[in-house]
Order: sequence, then C-alpha cells, then structure tokens
Amino acid sequence: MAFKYRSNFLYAAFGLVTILLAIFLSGCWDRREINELAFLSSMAVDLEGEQRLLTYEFVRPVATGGGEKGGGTLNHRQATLRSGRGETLIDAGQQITTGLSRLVYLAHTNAVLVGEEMARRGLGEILDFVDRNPELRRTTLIMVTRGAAREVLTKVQGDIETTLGKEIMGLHKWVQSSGYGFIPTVNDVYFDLSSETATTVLPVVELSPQPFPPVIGAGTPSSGGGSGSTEGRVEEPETVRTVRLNGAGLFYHDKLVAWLDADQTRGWAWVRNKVRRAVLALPCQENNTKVAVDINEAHAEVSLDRQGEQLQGKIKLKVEGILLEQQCKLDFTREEAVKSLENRMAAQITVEISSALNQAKMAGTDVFGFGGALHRRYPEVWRQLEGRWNEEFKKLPVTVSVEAKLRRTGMTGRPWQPGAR
Amino acid sequence: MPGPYRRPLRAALFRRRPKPAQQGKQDNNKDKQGQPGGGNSHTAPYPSLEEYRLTAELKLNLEQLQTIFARCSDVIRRDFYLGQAIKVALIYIDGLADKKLIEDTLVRTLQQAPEELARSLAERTRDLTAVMEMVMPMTDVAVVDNMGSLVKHVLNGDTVLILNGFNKGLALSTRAWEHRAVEEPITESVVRGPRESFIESLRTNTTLIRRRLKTPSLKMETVCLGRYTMTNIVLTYIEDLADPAVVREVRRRLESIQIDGVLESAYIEELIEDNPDSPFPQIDHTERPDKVAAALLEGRVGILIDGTPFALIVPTVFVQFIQASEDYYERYYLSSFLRLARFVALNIALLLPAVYVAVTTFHQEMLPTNLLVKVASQREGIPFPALVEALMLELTFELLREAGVRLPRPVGQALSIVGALVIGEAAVSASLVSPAMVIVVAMTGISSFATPSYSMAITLRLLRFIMLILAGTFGFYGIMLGLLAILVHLNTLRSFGVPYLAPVAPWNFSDFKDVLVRVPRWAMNSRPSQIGYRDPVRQGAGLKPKPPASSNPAPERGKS
Repeated sequence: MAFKYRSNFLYAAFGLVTILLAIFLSGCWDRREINELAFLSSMAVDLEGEQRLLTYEFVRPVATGGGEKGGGTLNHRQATLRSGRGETLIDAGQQITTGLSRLVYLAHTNAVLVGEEMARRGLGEILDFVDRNPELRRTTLIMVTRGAAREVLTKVQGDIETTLGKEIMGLHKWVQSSGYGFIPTVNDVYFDLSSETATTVLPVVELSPQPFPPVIGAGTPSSGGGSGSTEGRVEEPETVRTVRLNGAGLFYHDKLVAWLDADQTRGWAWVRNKVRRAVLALPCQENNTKVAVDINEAHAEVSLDRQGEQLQGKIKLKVEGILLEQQCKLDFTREEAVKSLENRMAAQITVEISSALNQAKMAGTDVFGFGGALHRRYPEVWRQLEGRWNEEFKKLPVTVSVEAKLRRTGMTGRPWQPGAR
Repeated sequence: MPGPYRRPLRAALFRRRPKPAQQGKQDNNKDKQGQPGGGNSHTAPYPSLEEYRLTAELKLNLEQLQTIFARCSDVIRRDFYLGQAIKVALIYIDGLADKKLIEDTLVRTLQQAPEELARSLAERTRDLTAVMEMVMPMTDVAVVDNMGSLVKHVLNGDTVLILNGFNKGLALSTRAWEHRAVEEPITESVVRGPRESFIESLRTNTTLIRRRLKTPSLKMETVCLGRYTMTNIVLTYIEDLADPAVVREVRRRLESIQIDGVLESAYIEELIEDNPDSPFPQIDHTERPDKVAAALLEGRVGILIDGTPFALIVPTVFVQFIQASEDYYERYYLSSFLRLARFVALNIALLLPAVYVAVTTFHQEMLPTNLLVKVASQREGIPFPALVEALMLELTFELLREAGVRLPRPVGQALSIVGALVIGEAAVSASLVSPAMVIVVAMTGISSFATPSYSMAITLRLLRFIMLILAGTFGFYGIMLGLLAILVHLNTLRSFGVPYLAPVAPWNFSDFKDVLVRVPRWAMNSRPSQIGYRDPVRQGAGLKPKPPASSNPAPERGKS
C-alpha cells in the first residue's frame, strides 16, 4: 500500500512537472488580438542623403459592425500611411512605431517598392531586411520606381483594390498574360542574384491617371475619398491615380544600372520565358492596317557555342499564336498568307529581343543568362572568363532565331467580303 | 471497489436471508424472476421477510400478508372456494396483473373445479401439483413455499394462489400492465431501416431481440438489481460468438452492484464502466433493437434494463460513436461519405472555435491576407478579446440548447426565435460579437449535432471549452497539447478488455472495413477481431453478386 501511495505521488509530481515544462518552455508568449495589430500591406524604401526613408502602408480595417450596410460606397483606398527616417531600415521602422497606436504586423506585407536612388545604391540591405525578419516572407513582391518610391505609395488612389499591396498582388497574378510585365518575389531576386551572372531585372511601377466615373448625387463633402473633394453634383469624371507596370530596371549585382522600356521588357521576358500570353500587333499588307495575333505558347532557349576562341550566343524562341483580329482582308485559309504572317511575327519578336539585348549590352549586365549557359556548356572557359564576364558579354555576338507558328485563325477562316457568298 | 454495503436502520426487521441456495431451488422453474446466482449475502437485494412463514393455516397466512401489505391499497385479495370444498385465496396487485384473465378464466375455472379433486385436496390425499395438473388454466405456474418469494411474485405482477391446508402457494404469471406501444425510435431515427424502438417494458424488449435472432444460442440471463426497485436486468449475448470472458466479466460487474434502485441504463453504465473518471463514454447505448442485434452478431454483449428503452452494448470502442445504424442500410458509397463527414464534424465540434481563437489571437500570419482583413474589419470595435467573445457565444449557445431541451415544445420554439434573433442579430449589430464568431459557433453547434451519439457529442462539447481556453492562452501550441492529452487518455481507455481505439490502436487493417468507410456487405467477411474472434468468419466468401454468364441466351436457330 505504501508503495502504491508513493508511486501515485511520483506520478502526480511527474505530471505536474511535465505540464509546467510544457507551459513555460514554449518560448515567447505572443498573444495579440487581431484588432490590436496594424497590418502592413506594402512599403516603400527610399534613400534621402544617407538616411533611409521608410514608408509603410497599413490596411485600415473598416468596421463593418452590423453587416454590410449602405452599399455603393466608393471603393477608394482604405489605407493609412506612416513614414519614418533612420540610419537603417529597422531604425526607420522603429520611428514609425512611435506614432502608431497598434503593433506593426509585417507578415502580410505584399510588396516592397524600392526608390530609384535606393536601387542605385543597392538592394542588398532591403533583401537582408526582408529575409532576416521572422515576420516578413520571401514571397513578398519587389519592384522599383523611377524617382522616389514614396511618391507612388502616397499618391496612388486605387480604385479596384483597397490597398496598393493588394493591387500589386493582383498585378503579379495577371500581368504575365500581357507579356509586358512580371513581378518577382524576394526569393526570385535572391535566386537571380545567386546565379553565375548575379544580375536581375525588377519591374518599374508608376502612377497612371485614369478617369473615374462621377458619382451621382455625391453632394456631401464626406464623399470624395481623397481626390479633390468637389461640392455638389459632379459632372466630369474624376481622375484617379492608379498604378501600372511600365518597363523594368536592369540590375548588375544588386545595383540598378539601366532601364528598359515596355517593349524591351517584353523582349527580355520572351528570352527568360516570362511570357505566358502576349498580343502582337503586326502590319498588314495595305495602307497601315494591322493584324493582331495572340501568342499563347512561347518557349525560349539560351545557349552558347564556341568556334575556336570565339563565343557565339544563341537565343532560340518558339512561339505559337492564334489570329485574333485583322483590319485588312487577308484570306488565312491560304498557306502563303499564314506563312507571311508567321514571318512577320518572328520579325517583330526578334526586334523586341534585339532591342532589349542591346540595352543590356550597353549596361554590361547579362540579364539573359548567357553566363549560366556558358558555365553549363564550357565550365573551364567560364572559369577563365568569370572575373570579366561583364566585359565579355558586351562584345558577345548573339543570334536570335524565332520560330513562329500560327495555329488557328479564330472562329472564322475567310474574312468578310462584300457580296461574296 | 465500492465500499461495504450499508444496511438500513431497519436491518433488524429486514434481515438478510441466510441461505440463498434454498431460495434458488424453488424458483428454478420460474426464472423470469431471476435471482443473481451468486450466493453472496449482499446479492440478496430485497429486504428479507424472514419473520414471516407460510403456514398450512390459510387464515394465518392471510393475516401475515395483511401485515406485510398494510396500507397498500393496490393489493387485492380474493377468497373463494375451489370446487366448493377447499378455501383458497388469490392475491395480486391491481394494475400489474391481468384482471380480465383472473376474473374470466382463473376464478371461474377454479370455482368450477371437480368436487372430487377439492375434497381430496382438503383431505390431503392429493398434492398441490394436482391442481396444476388438473384444473389450472395457465402454463406459467410456479410453486412458492416461503413468504419472501410469495411477496416478490405478487410485486412482480403475478397472482398467488394459497390453499387452505397447504404451506405452499402457486404463483401464476398474470403480468400485464400499461406500457407504451412500440414506436419509432426518437433519438435514432432512420430514413431506411426498421422503425421499432425499445420501450420501458423489459419483456417487450427481449421479444424485439428474440424476434430478430431466432436461435437458441441467444442467451438471456437475468440479474435483479436494486434493493427497492428490484429491477430486472437481462444480459443477452450469442453463446457461440461472445467472448465468455467478457460475459463473465459483465456478469461479475453487474452482480457486484449494490444499489437501492436502478431507474435508467445510465445507473448501470456508470457502475460498470472501466474508467469512471474519463469524460468519454465507454459503453454505447441505443434504443434500436436492430442495433443491439447487430452488436450481438459481432460478438458483443447487450444489457437490457427494465423500465428504460435504452439498452447498453459492451464492449464499446470509439468508432462506434460515429457509426449510425443507417450506415448499414444505405448504399455503401453514401455511408462511407457520411461517415467521413461525421469524422470531420467531430473534429469541427471539438476544435473549430479553438482554432478560430488561436488563429486570430496568435497566428495571424496563417490566414490569407484578404480573409485576415475581413476578419480584422469585423473585429474592429468589438470590445472583448476573441477568447472572451468565443466563450460568451459558446455559453449562450449551450444555454439556449439546454433551455430548448428542457422546455415544453411550444415554449422552446419561442426560445429559439429569441436566441436566433435577439442574441444572434442584435449582438452582432450592437458590435458586441463579430459575425465571423457567430458563424463559427453555429458551425460548431451543427457539427456537434451531426455526431450520431449524443453521449459522445456532449463529451466533445465539454472538451471544446477546455480546448478553447487552451487555444486562448497558448494558441496552436495549446491546442496540440490538449489534443495530445486527449489522445494519450483515449489510448489508456479500455472497454471490457478491448482497447478503446481499436482497430486504430492497436492497428488491425482488416477491421478498418468499418471504421472510416463502410465496405459493402459482401466484403464484410469477418467479425471485429478484438470482439468476435471466437467465430471470425461471418459469411461465405465470394458473395459479391455477379450477372449470370449470359443474360440473353442466344436465339436458337431454326425456331422463330
């Protein structure tokens, strides 16, 4: 009996110790109510002299209280901005907390905008900041702006989404179907910068004013939502500043060195297989009319050949497209019409690629991945050239060969002809 | 082990019978009564009537009975002459005995008994058995020779016939009393399947089972429990299938019960379960005879209790609580889907509020951004922490449910309107609780009702509060700790020797045919290995029906 009592006591003691350990060894106790947090949606990083200027865009939750009441409110931006200045990014971030009634919560940050000056100084510290912080994720999207990033973040009004971060998330998802843009994540950038050539391309985000339909009877001054609040009935459409992607910045290592315009960006995107869909507007035969082809399949290969000491870069691209519209009256049931259209497709794509290639060569940053191709094909040559690949790339001859196919001509074959049966 | 049996203060008056063996002998041919065969002194639950003796003097006997049944207005005594020669008396309880039978058949037959028989009885040349053999119009007759058993027979609804000059009586089974008709089961209704339910009358219940299992192997042992209620309890099993060790153990546990009264199966359940400290039910109960029959066919043991429509089934394993009898009556695809759905519902009922609280107070990074913003904007302006909000709503829901169960039906409806409208709508528009929390609590409520077993549902409901508090203090870490504790606890449970989590732990693949899914009937070839191992083969192999080799015989040539 005594033994039994003793073992009972031991069991109880053991259980107690286990429970206590389970409770107190669990690490930090980070209970925080959801409405004590300020959710960061996007941030802008700028350089002002030697100071880092950090601008945070927080989601401003609108109390929905008793359900959805009074629909039809303006879907303007529901965001709160705060900015801070400091020697380092964390410093600047700390300054923001001094003016915020809630805890800054970074885990839902969608996008980081990098100002031009900061980008020329180098992305390194931003990447490190994102990577090192336990709350921030590597899936955060990153892009650059021409001029200060703060300008874009503060001036954008938005109309579909409520925050810039959400807007950029949506862009990230769907922009590739136009072929003109792409938005990499921080992880992608890390990946790019760790490759042989250590170069990357970040898209440029800029403000784009768009008309916004006037709201009928919006006479009360409470409306307006940030745009120049107008008294009484608004007849003219307001102008709303939204964002769009336009071109890209070329980076050598982590520093911005040159810009690409929109067409060049697509030229680069063809080669790096970033185009999911694209529309080519090609000249038709007669008087300035056009044919539009929808590219729905594109695959590029970058390779390097060596003939003697001479290196020769090769870009091979295969695209397939569908005829979407034509302003002229070509009969695409005939083979020669299709062939000539395919040639024009190939020609246009080649122009785009060459343009981007020239820009990259001038800047001396191998964003097309020739260095990697060389490393895989001729590792010993790569080892010799590794140090000065930058210069080698500038004088690398590159041939671009595009193989274009027109797969379908849409729902009709022959175009409409007056009186033709 | 329960403590020693405390005798009532009147122990001097109602002393225990010293020799139960003596008693057993006389009751052999009348085992409806069923004495616990034990022979332990404490198994004689009825206050002894040892002070009284049956004598040969009818008048004396009747006087004694008068004393015993003093102030019992429902006891009826009727004296008359058998065959106009010997004086006899009938004693029965009005309402328990079949009065029509007694009046129309018994009394008339006895009064018109041949005079010669009566005279020979009076002269003691013939024994009491002659009455049974020659005039008695009934089959179920027992000889009683002591007052204790006489009184017991009367109390059970039998009619006792005492003859002058004999120190024995005849107990005639005339039991017939008012009881509910066999109706549709209320707690376990089905769309397809038998619609009979047990009722409060034990005999009807045993009949319902016997009608489904027409085999002499179906055994029905009777145990009488309850010092005052004298409740008959039937232990039923199929002798070829049930594990004799389990049967023995059930019998032992039943017989060791000493209690003043048994009014419901829960009395027995609580007194015989393996781990009385566990929140989990370890014995399944049902009011469906087909469910009991199915359990008996698996080798389980059923316990029927007089006075309640609920039968107990042992041994019980955890999965039984997510099996519904309709699973076996619908197509197996649907049954399997529903069973998986119930499993999900079980988890929701236990965890959903806890997970919601944990996510919104600890792990905001786990929500998709859009959802998070929605939740955050709903919580905007809510004055309580999520945990308090959840506890408040859960408690309200529980109170509503409890009030709805106890109230008469018309009032209950008004209550549900008040609950749904006032609490739900008004609390949300007053920004006291967030709409998301109302949805969570509603989901939880629906899920807990989706568990077929009410007893398991209430267990989960209770554990839900513990999980909620754990989640509110430690987040997912707390939830995992709680789940681990529950899992460890479930692993320690056993029900009559069978591990509670069988066949998951210990693992038995062949038993999985009836756990997460229900395989078709033609594939259920074996009984549960932990329970029906004595005769594992349930049916012939290759029962899967096939079309005939050629369903359209080729037309014979030459004939048209």
